[in-house]
Amino acid sequence: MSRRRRIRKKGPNLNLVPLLDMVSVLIQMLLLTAQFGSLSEVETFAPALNTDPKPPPADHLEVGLHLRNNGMLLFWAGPKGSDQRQLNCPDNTCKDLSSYPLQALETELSSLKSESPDTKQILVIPDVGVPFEVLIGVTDKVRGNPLKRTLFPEVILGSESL
Amino acid sequence: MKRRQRRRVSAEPPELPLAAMVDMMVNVLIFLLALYGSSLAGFDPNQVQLPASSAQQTPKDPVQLVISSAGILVDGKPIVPLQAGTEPWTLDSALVEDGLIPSLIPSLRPTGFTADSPTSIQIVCDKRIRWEILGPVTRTLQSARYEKFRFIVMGEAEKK
Repeated sequence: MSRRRRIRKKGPNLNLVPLLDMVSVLIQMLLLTAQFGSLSEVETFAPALNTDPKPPPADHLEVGLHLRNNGMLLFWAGPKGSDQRQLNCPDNTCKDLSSYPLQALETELSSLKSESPDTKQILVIPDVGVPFEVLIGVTDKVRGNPLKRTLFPEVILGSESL
Repeated sequence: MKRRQRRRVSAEPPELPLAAMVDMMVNVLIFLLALYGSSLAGFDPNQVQLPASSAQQTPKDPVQLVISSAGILVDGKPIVPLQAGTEPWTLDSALVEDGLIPSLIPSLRPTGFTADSPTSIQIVCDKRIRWEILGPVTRTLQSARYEKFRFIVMGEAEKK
């Protein structure tokens, strides 16, 4: 008699199986559609006319980079005159981003930045055959590392004359 | 009588302790839903190969312009097709006038340009797209009074 009472006192069992089914399906769907890599954004600017009436500072430097299929041409003009450096890929063929002499570019840009620390802008002119991956890789180098040393953070995307 | 009752009780199937599993699954579900909510709307990450970059700025706005093998899409709608075939993909020269893509402008500024109109645009571009396509797009964006192009990239750990 006492046993019967004990059995009746048990609460009703919740049927969790349909809930588990549904949650499993949802998890599978979310795992399939989720993107685990973190996304970032790279800011670039369109070329614009300089409407600032103030003259540029005395140590102002105009820096440009022509991104080609066989390498890069870095050119600049400043108080010490103008000059350029040709940075070619090995065998004059740039197969992918790793073929571009990015380390040499960083060295050249670092020395230019030392000459004119206030200059922030650089004009990047890609050739028609340059893939977007190369453009972003070069932009990374040109902007520098914000944690170590910022080089030219304002990248202006230009085009060759049509 | 007592014997029978004992047998009946022991014949019941053992109950699985599902509460712990439900707890865990609910946690996983909440995590995945949060991840899903924080991902960018407007493009399918499986259709576009993004380039890697050390950039640290987190994108927030929905993507407006996507350039992939499927063509040039504005707000998810295909506007300009790319020429089908193997890589590298090309743009039909008939669609380009003076270095611009005129068919793109009405979609970019459907209500025209006002003082409140945004001047920056978020762009998703496949890493294999060449400047041959991207160049006319950026020039068209400039002609539609966009001054800042924010390219979405895959963040990578800072190399030492």
